[in-house]
Amino acid sequence: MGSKKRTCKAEAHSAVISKAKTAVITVGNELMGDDGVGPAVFKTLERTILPRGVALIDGGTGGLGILHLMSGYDRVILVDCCDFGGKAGAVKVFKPEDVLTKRGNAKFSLHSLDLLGLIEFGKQIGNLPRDLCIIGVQPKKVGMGEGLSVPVQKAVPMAVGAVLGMLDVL
Amino acid sequence: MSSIHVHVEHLTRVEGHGNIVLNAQNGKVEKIEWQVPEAPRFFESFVRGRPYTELSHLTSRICGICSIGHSLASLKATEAALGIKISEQTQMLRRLALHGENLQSHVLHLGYLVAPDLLGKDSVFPLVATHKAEVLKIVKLHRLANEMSDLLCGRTTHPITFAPGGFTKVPTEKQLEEVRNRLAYAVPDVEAVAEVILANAGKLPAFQRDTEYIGLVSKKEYALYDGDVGSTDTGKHKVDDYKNIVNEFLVPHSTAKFCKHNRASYMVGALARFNLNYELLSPMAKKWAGKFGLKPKCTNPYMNNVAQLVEIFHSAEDTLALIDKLISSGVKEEKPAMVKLKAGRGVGAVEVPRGILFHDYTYDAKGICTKANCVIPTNQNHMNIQLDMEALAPTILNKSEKEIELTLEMLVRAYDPCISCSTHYLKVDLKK
Repeated sequence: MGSKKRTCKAEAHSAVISKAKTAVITVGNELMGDDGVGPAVFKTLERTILPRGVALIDGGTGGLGILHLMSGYDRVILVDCCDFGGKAGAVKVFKPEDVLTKRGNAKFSLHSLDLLGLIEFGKQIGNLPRDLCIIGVQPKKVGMGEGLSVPVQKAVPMAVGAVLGMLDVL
Repeated sequence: MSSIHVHVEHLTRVEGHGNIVLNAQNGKVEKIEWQVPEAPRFFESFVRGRPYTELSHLTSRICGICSIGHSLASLKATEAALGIKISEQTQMLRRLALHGENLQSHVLHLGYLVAPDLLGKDSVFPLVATHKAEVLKIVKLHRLANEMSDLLCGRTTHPITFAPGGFTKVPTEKQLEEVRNRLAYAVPDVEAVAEVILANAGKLPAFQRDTEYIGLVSKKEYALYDGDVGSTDTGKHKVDDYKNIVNEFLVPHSTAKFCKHNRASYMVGALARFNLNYELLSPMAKKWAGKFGLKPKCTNPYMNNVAQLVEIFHSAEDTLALIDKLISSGVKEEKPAMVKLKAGRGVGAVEVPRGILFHDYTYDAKGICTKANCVIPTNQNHMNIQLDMEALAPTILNKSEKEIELTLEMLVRAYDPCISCSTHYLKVDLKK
């Protein structure tokens, strides 16, 4: 339970905002199986040299705090576990407006919030980055337990590649 | 023959999982239960064998909202066990951190979880259309409280600057002054939100049930960080004597333990603190309590929401005063106090947003934890919730099932329970 926040730089998050205009924010819970794909992508990106002006942020298990983490950035790339009806380990890049329907109930809690609900909320209060996209990884299994399933482990480099690819064109 | 069946599975707008079950037949309640189905977390087991330097970091993970409070209760227990003394500056900075947590939690609870009930909506999202200005203020206040935590604790959740004996990094006077100025500027925003809650306070049910109220008490301040354990029934008790106060026990319909002291249940949290420490509230807090007609001893659990609002004003005013004091005395670059290891046992108690929290640790001569016990505020409230529901349910059976369900949900939400946390992930259908 609970979320953690780390940045790849030594400066506090608020000090980084003034320099970086793009943020990559990973979301997920390492104790819930494939929901840990976001943190896994974070760990790989942390060892990577990112383009100047890009902040890498561990968004923990999500929640309302994500809204504040996105604040001040022109562009945000969110990385999260996402069931889009694909094959386990598939990686999809999409924008919030590409979503036809959300399957399952939106939850609202102080610790975790349906990410799309949060994005919609941010949009309504005029508190969203100009450019926002989501890199979703299809899980095989989300439930209590550490470690990613084999297909999702194999998806981590693809998700990292998707992030780096997007950073090159931004 | 009329029958009523209300079964709320996984109540929304609370932390974690709790169920409300009500069965009534011909105007008579057959079953009313507050069920907590959360799995145990085993913190008290896995901290055994860990060194004293790790305990506050491990136990801060008990909660993502009250992680500051857990860290501080943990540190106080460790410091009591090992005989570690802290400086006055450390005490002031820790008090500031607790105020930050109180502000963060109460603003969120009232703004996102309670306001929808008062304004007739299912969640905060529809409120953007009807109360956009107030929603923006809530978001802004939440962000400010988060940044206060960032400054004092190193990050918003799970402090990293706290250590046994002090801080590994202290804020500068300039940073504190910036927080001070932003908070002073934000007070009118708190008042604007308070006015909306005041305008809708009539929707809080007028339910009364006298119970025992327990919380930290002190002669010097509205106790959040330090004090003795106070009871509206039995007066003052030493923190070390907490086991004779909480008296945890098991019930068949809940995986969480329940508690009782002088009566079959007791209440902790903002309303308990208000009832015990009203005289020590800040001027603005008292003023706003007066506007709502809230005065001690209040026995309406729904007014815990208003007590939280009152505490927002208190935490804001006391934060300004503490920062002024720190700046005028100068913030020193102190290192945590030296630690001389010895075997010992210590109990730490602090007030977190939901009530009084106890951590109790035993260490061996090498500073390794051999035993731990944590009593969480929400655990202490479960029995009071149950008995409130038992008293309330018979009086609302004449309402529709929907109204009964809402009234019971609002009762539980008023306690602001923090049961646990769960996973999330997205489930979507995408355009091809």
